[in-house]
Amino acid sequence: MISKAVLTVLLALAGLGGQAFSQQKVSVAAAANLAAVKDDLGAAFAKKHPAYSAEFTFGSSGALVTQILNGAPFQVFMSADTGFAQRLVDEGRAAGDAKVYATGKLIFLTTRDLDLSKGLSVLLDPKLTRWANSNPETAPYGRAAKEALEKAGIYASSLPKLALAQNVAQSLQFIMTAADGGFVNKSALYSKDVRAYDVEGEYWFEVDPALYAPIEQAFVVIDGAKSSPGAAAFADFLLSSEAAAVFAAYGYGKPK
Amino acid sequence: MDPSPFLVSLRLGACVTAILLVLAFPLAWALARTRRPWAIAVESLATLPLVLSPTVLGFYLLSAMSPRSPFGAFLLSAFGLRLAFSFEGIVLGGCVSGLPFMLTALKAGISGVSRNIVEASYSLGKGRVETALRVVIPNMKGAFLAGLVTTFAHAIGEFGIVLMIGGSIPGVTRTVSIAVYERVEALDFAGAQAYAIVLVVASYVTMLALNALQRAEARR
Amino acid sequence: MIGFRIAKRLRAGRHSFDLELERELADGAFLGVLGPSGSGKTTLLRCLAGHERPDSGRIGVGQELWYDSSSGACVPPRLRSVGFVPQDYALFPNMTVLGNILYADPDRENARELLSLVRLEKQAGLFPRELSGGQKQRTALARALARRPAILLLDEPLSALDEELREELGDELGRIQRASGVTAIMVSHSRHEISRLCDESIELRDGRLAGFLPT
Repeated sequence: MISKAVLTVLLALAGLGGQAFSQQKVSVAAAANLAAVKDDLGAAFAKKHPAYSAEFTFGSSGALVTQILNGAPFQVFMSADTGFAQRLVDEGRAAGDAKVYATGKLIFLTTRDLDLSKGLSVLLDPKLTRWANSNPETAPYGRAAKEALEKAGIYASSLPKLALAQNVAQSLQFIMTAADGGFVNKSALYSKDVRAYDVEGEYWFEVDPALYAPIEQAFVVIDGAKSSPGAAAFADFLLSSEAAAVFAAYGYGKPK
Repeated sequence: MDPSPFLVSLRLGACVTAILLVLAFPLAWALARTRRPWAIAVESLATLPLVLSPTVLGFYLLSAMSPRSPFGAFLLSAFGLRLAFSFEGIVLGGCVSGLPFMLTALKAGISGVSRNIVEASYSLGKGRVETALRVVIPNMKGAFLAGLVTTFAHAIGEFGIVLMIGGSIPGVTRTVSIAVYERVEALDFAGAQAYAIVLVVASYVTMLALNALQRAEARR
Repeated sequence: MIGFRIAKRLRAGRHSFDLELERELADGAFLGVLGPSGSGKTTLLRCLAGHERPDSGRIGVGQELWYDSSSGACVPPRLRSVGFVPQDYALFPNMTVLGNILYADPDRENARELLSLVRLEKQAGLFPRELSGGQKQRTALARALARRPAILLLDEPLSALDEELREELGDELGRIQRASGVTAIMVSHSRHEISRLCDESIELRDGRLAGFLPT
């Protein structure tokens, strides 16, 4: 009796597996800030190219490049900027050039009761004891935040209060727990736990784009996947209007 | 190469080991000498960090230290203490994850001291504290050494928890393991090597010295 | 004057039996308790020392009440004036012969007297691991007597020694007990030893008094 039930369950699962395996997987290494768009982007891709399904792995751009340089079997790399993507091209590990698929927007986010009317100067507010930012050396949004603060002349004085995260995902985690605020990608507002704080002016504000070099997020197809039709389809999709619509819905800007 | 991560790691190792030596001993004593049923529940809880991923531990610790959690709010209002992103915070994390190492070593040492000499000490009119200091501890030096070594080594190498709750503040919570990780992420492999080599050599020399001490102790 | 009445249920594997013994001892007397292993002899001593608790009974030593089940009184081991010599002697490995004795009583004069009483003056600076069986036994004895206890409890004091030594140390033991005048109880499985050393002796079988022995 029990063995019959087990057998049925196993067959059903195999059937499900069969369904998934009939779609070819495209393995994508994606910068941490793209976590929010994963589901909608994946769905839009599957709609446009039903033979394929995208599988995302997230991390900081720097960490992902290291892994890819050391042979990690990703097929496409979606960076948070152009620098890291270009690094793969320079190392001869890309099939083609780096192409921009969206521009990132930097915001300051907090869950505390802080006065955001003065913008970046909120870091000097004594009520703010710790602010979070991702590592400027490895995360483009972190680099942008540092640049903006240096331009505003307050980076050095707010440095002692910095809690350094390894990527925007960790920066967000710090902001949602023990830090009094910090810098993340605008698309972070769309993740489930943050939605309650999507009240512009009260919990977040967009950092003036004039203060930092545009975060042009570029992608490359990894050389190992140069003859993969799935990778080619995904590359094609990223530059399509369907993808642009998804990015726009999540607070990204159009590629210039 | 910025040498401050070495100092942070050393301080972390020293603080965690010192605190656990003092805190774990009474607990190890209680667990070693009791036959009550609660002992196994307490011991399982205390040694849970051994099997729990440090990242999971760090995740829970970060949430607990947040002023939005009851524990964090209490610490802030009662003591003005913010544990996240502080040296004290990573010491706490190190103690939680290091407790199983110290506890296991001490408990084995205490159990190893024959019940007869403990009772002999009581019959000679001594209380528990004097017996612990003059009879039990001198006869479990090997176990102390083992606990010290394993706890210190583990605390120095602690990564997952420090990553989650440290905030990588230079000179405060940026340990060598975090520094190596950041160098690698920044694709500065030469920098990573520099930290790593020093750490490996220092760790090896420490282990050599302590193993030699342990052998000498066992021979007596 | 020492009087005790002890009742305790003991388990030996699947077999359980009740230890029940009642006795009075005059000061300076040397009582021998004969019985095979597992008869409850060690438990008897441990109950008197306070390391184990009887199920019911009463232990009175001089003016002090060490245990009384009816009132719930139970004095812990460290407050009982007992000199306890267990079967393995339980010497402190980290202290010398002298150190072991000073642990009991820091008075060096007293320690010197005890060392000469047990004839271990020359071994004072040795550690237990450097001692022979007989020397360990004598050290344990000296240590147990250091606080001039109301009662000396000896658990098979001669069993760990070889034949020759047993005779010699048995005599020593008797001499020391008489010299110090301490009330003593010795348990042993050797009829011969008990009849040689003790003023009075009883036989214990399955926890109960099975008879008296001639002295």
